[in-house]
Formats: sequence, structure tokens, C-alpha cells
Amino acid sequence: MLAQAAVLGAIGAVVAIMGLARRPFGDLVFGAAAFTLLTLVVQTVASIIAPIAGAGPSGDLLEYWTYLLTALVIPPAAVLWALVDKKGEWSTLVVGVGILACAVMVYRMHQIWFVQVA
Amino acid sequence: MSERKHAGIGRVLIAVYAVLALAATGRSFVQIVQRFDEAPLAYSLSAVAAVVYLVATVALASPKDAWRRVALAAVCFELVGVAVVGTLSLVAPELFAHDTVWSRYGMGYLFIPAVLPFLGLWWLRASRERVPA
Repeated sequence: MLAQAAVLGAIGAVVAIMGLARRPFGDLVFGAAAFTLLTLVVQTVASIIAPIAGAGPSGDLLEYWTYLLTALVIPPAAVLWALVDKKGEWSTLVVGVGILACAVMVYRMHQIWFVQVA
Repeated sequence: MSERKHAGIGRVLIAVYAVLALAATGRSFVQIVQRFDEAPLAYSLSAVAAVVYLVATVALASPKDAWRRVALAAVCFELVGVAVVGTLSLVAPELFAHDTVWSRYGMGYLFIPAVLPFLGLWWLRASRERVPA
């Protein structure tokens, strides 16, 4: 999860910088959001399987799932926004901010799962 | 004129508000469900903050002029909230032993809660000036 947070943070930063440079929303930005969502879906599946296999979180389960479900909403919402707002110059930055938010949330989830003691 | 208010970098501001609203809602939900008895004041405040961020998001996003006042009120409330709670969390930590969005001026959220109200006020002002009377 730590590596995931770092990668998402880097991708989010790149997309945000592209957004500040007024790059239009395109396949690359869409791909970045899709990748973010993909890692979160993989994480969701892993989070369901791991406790069954006996490797549950050290921290608070409810807090963890609240973060995860919230994070899952962000990439589709950001892309939906960009698609609705076709003329918008700032859609790329919106997606970048969304990915950065996901990165922070994944980092928090890492803390809850591995570090926090309930 | 609704086009104007929507256009440009204001959309990014609305997006940031939306993310913060989500974060605050999630956090207060967990706090209230699990540990409300531990710190009723701090956790009630979390919930109030979450609602205000939701209202601010909707109000900033709405093209209707009536919402402008709502947005202004919500943004001002945030500014007061982050200033008062931020200060109290430092001088009277026993009151706010449990974190809220606004504790220590929003440090847990990279100080975004402290910066956002100013950006919100600036945006409300800037978008009004561009609207012909």
C-alpha cells in the first residue's frame, strides 16, 4: 500500500502539473484515472481476501473501509466531471487533484492496516 | 452570468471542496459511530464541519445567484471555524484532545482547511466582479 500511495502520488503530481500547464483532458489523463481506480479495486479485493486468509488489519476496520469506499468514488467522479465539462480548461487539474487525494487516502489506509493499533 | 461563475479555475476550487467534504464526512461518520462518548464536542464539530463543506460545495457549484449568499456564509463559517478551533486546539488541548478537520489549523489535512476559505472568498469576489450588474 505504501508503494501504491507513492506511485499514485507521483501520477497525481504529474497530472496536476499537466493541468496547471493547461493540457487538455485526453487519453493519458483518462488512463491515469483508470489506473488509479484499478489499483483501488485490486486493493479492495485484497482487503476482502486478506482477513479471510488470516492477515487482517492492525487498526480500525470501519475507518479503513470508509477511506477505501470514499477513495473508490473519487476517480470515476473526477472523470465524469471532465467528460461533462468538455470545454473546461481545468478538467485535467481536477483529475490530478483527485488522484492526489486518493494517494493521501491510500497512505492513511496503509497506516490503519499496518501501523495503527486499535 | 451563471456560465461565468462556473468557468475557469473556480471548478478546481469546487472539486477541492468536494474532496474535503467527502473526507470530513467520512471521518465524522467513523468518529460518531465508534467513539462519540469519548469526545462529543470534537466529534459533533467534525459533523458540523462536514455539513458546512457539503453546503459550500453545492453552493459554489450552483449557478443560482441566491446560492452565492449561502456560499459566502458557509465559507465565512469555515474561516471562523478553522481560526477558533485551530487556536483552541493549541491553547486548550484538553477540549480538543480528539482531532477534527480544524484542529491545529487543519494540519492533518495539509492546512488545506485553513487556505480554502480565503480562496473561496477570493473566488466569490472575483466571479461577482465579472458579472454585469
